[in-house]
Amino acid sequence: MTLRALIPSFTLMVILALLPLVLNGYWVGQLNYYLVYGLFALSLSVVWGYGGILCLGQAAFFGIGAYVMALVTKGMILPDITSSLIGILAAMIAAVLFALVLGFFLFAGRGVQGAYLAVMTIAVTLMLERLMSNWYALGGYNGLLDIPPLTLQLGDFFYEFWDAAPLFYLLLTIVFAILFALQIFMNSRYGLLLTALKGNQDRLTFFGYGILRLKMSVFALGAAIAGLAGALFVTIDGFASPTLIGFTLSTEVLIWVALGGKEMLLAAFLGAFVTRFAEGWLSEALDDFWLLAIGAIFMVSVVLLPKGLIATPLGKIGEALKIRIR
Amino acid sequence: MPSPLLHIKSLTKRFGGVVAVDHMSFEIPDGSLTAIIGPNGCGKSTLFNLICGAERPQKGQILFEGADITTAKPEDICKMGIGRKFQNPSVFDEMTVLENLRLPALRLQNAPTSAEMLSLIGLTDRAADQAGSLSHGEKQWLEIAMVLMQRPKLLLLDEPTAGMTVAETRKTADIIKTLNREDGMTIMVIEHDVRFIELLECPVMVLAGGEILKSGSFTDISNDDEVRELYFGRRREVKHA
Repeated sequence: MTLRALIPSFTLMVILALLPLVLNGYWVGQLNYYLVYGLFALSLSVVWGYGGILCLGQAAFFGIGAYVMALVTKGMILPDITSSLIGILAAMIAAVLFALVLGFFLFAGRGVQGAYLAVMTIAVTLMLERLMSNWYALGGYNGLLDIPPLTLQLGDFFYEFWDAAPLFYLLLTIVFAILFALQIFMNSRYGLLLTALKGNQDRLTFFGYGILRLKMSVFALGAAIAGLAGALFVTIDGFASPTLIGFTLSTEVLIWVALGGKEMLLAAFLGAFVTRFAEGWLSEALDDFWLLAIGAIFMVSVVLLPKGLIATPLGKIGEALKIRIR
Repeated sequence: MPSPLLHIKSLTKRFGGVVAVDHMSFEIPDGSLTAIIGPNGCGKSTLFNLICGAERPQKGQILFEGADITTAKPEDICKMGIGRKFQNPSVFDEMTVLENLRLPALRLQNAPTSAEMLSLIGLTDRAADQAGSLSHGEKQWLEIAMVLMQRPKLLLLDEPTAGMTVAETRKTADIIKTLNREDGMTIMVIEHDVRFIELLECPVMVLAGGEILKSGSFTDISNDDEVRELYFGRRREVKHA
């Protein structure tokens, strides 16, 4: 992969980096949410767009990350260990472990495929939402409150990311580091195998590749990113509730990714950004009818621009620049 | 006498009440080219499915280089050196021709170069094109080349010329004969097109009702009354268990 293929993402990063200079604190705070939602969208793009696994329960991993981060940083697991870094690592590991167990159950043997797989993932997220709503030690329906912000500790240096702008630059660094890494990774041997997995699973098997390992790996990779997004989210919001692990968020991320373009990481990321922004704007302009507008845009986009509302023009730009935008 | 590359022993496969392969036994010598013909439903593709691990037999044994592969997984059978081309061209449409060729070789250290394969199938100029844009015949060649990238010891070709023009069919026959005679590759070919089988100039096995009806040279087979009746006259009934 040439570095030229990263130019569109790099350009976006530079533009975003300049925004706090012209936006007020409220909007910078909103951008922080958008960045995390964008990261969450990347996780589904990896699983669905690249791995071909339609996961309608991606919020399960986001929610697990959110709750584990909350439990660690609130000192509910080990009172003396409340580091953000440990919380993030624990959140990602928990999400990955859950994905590996669930993935083995779903993909081993002949495996569950197509609509059945989608339904199974919905069932899982509904079960988890119900579980968290009734798990009173973890706040039950009300969730966990007062989750501390991200902290950075290097020797004697200690910093809490209370302010929106410093947090924005930290999130921007994390999110774009992951975006660049994924774009490079998906252009490697692994990305080629995933394209083949999505295109023709049987053919790939008869070339000597283990399908189970490949599916589990992409499922776990998506879970790790979703878990990270969930962990970051609760440090901004200060609140972990059952809705973070539930069906509604799972469908929302599906819409962001489908609207943006599931097979292009940058487009999926922007899909979350644009849709969240549009939701805010439309809800002001159309009151309760904003959901209808989003639904209509989604339906028109899926029919007329199946590759995605953002991926289609980005693809044209890529063709003009002779690069393959991931 | 050297042991055969592939040894099929009393292989049986039933689907419900239908017997697709019925106590079939034969040997495939190393370096041979064998054609398998027979009417639809005679068990040709099922036989290939059993050899490459896509299906498991109810009875019998499959030995490859002396090792029992009867219940092995398809990916492990492939790694042992059995390559298969499917009946319908099975390429990755979303990938380029070159990427299609790179894919099977990713796990190998001494795979042939993609340029070699592109030249063999005459698609050098189309290396950067999406595989989905190729014609049916070109896809068939691409899939053969993809399988060859693995340097298989045994190549299973399931109707490699389906949908090809006469010229393309001739070229495919030439490629197969070259692979067998010059590179010493062991090849089994399933085919409906009798003219193509004649071009291969190799021993022929005729299947009917899940059994081997006849084996011999193309001339012997084409002059056999039972085979002629099978192809041009009354078809055998499908067997029920």
